[in-house]
Amino acid sequence: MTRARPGGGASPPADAPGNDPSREGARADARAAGGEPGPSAGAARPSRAARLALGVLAAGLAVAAAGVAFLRPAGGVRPNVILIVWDTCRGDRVEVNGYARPTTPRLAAFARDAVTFRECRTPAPWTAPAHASLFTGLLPRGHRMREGMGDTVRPGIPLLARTLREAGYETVSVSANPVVSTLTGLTDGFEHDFQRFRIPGSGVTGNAVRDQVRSWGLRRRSVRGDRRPVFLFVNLMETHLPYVAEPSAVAAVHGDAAVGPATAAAAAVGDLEAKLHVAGVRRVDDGTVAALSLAYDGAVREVDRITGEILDFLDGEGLLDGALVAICSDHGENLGEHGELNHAFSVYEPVLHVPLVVRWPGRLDGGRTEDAQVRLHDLYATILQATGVPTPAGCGLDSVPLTEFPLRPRPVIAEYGPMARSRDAARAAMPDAPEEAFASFGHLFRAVIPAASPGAPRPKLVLVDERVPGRAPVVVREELFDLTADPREQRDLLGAAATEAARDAAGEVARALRALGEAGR
Amino acid sequence: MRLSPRFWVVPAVLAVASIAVAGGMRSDAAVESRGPVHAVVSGDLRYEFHAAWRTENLWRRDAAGVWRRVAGPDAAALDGLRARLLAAHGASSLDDIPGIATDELEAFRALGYL
Repeated sequence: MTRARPGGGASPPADAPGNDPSREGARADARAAGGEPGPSAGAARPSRAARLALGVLAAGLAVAAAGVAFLRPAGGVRPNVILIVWDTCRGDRVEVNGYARPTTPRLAAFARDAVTFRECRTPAPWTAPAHASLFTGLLPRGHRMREGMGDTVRPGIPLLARTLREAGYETVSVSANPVVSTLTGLTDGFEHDFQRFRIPGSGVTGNAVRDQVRSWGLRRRSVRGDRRPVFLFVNLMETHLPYVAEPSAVAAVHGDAAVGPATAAAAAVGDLEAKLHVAGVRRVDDGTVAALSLAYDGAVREVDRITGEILDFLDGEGLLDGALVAICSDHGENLGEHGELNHAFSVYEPVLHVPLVVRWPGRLDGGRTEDAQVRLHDLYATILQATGVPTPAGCGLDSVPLTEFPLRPRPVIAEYGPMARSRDAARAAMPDAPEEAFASFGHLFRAVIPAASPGAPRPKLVLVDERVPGRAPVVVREELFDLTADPREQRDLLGAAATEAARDAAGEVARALRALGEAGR
Repeated sequence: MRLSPRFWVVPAVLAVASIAVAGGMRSDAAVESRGPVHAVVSGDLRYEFHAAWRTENLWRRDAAGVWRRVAGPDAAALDGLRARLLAAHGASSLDDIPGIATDELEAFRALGYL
């Protein structure tokens, strides 16, 4: 670097060629600062204003160049980011996590050159807060969106799309879920916000999402000059009630005999029926619940197929070259466990455990599997790391990149509720239900799982508080499970069946986990 | 009839106070809209009206600069900020501010959430 000497001009380095414009510029700047007359001083010398303008221009270019260099990752090229969310897909129903049925052949093929995080948990078993965590790197208590029904993300916290867009990314959302839309503000920052909502009776499925991605991609190809890196977010809803139980998909997973019961159950049980079941107003019988599980697997097979077709298209367009591609779910689904359906009012494993497979050539690849516990919102820090974009103030506080090697397990804190606005809607939808059926809407459900090495005991605390504004929380339920020995959460270590000594020991663990849950990280 | 100078004291004080309040409203209150959320920020208070859900949120910025939702809203603060939003929209009540994202809301309802 050339610096001006006090009282004199710049001292050119010995190897500086005389016609190097950058170094010449440095000398000119030094002369302007130190007052040394230049070799061409005289009539042709630029005016002071012109030199000042040139100086400002040069400084601006230098700052811009430094900014670009700062924003780019070490490799120099900012990768595309492709984020595909399988809304409501359970972690235990995908082959890469050990499921024995052929639900996800395309995901398995993708995983052969990616990293599979087999123990990923969501911070919230409901679309709005889970996506808000994914887009901010914060727990729900940090971003404050709990219902997404009029409550917004905390002011001053930019979502991932806005951060990437301001860093020069083309940001594209294709969402099948109306929860991920302008309605909740979760698509803020996406310059293309395509809505392909899969709602009952619309006839719209994930095929429409796939076609929209193709349409956008083809248009992008035809536009010359726009070669910004891309952040493409896709939300697919096949595994959300009412399940898309395509006969061919159900047959591929469970055989032809399953098609009839599965399609009948999928047609019979929608969101309202699940609500009535959970509220205890009208229970869905066990046979239908079992058939619903078959339908669900067919829906997983469908979302897998559509994802494969989207990836095929993106690959053909060259958009996957060097890209970070993440396939995940926002939360899981109850299929009769603990008497539950849908994904409300529950923080048990069926709704917390989600699939997560990430490919980022050179960092997350090779077909590796990781059994250390991670969180869905760890993707936030991973994406910013890959793009080289600095984390905005207040964001990413609960998120750690998945590139850490060896990967250390991270504590999980998950929250659901209270759902005050949903209660009003449920009362209207179920006018005959007794008032006690709506008690859960006022509860805060929490789960705490500490960081534990794979194979070691993994205690999990389930805590349900009644929350009334202006009053201290009242504990409604507290349970402790060991996920290693009891992955289905059937034996409550705080329950009456345990011995007194075991209950005392469990109580100690529960207290520690409660403190961890309160601390937040 | 000639009024005593004392008579003018109260109106004068009120006028000065009104001007000060109005001036304060103009100088430190910012009205902004992003998507369906209309917001008024005044000092460390932020009022939001969600034009899709028709809900109001009140936030207060703490010493660390973090916005925290006010659980039991201060009615006076809420009224003042709401009035500023209405004035900015030329509306006499929140009902006059048109709904936004109505298609999304219908989709949300059709999915069974409402």
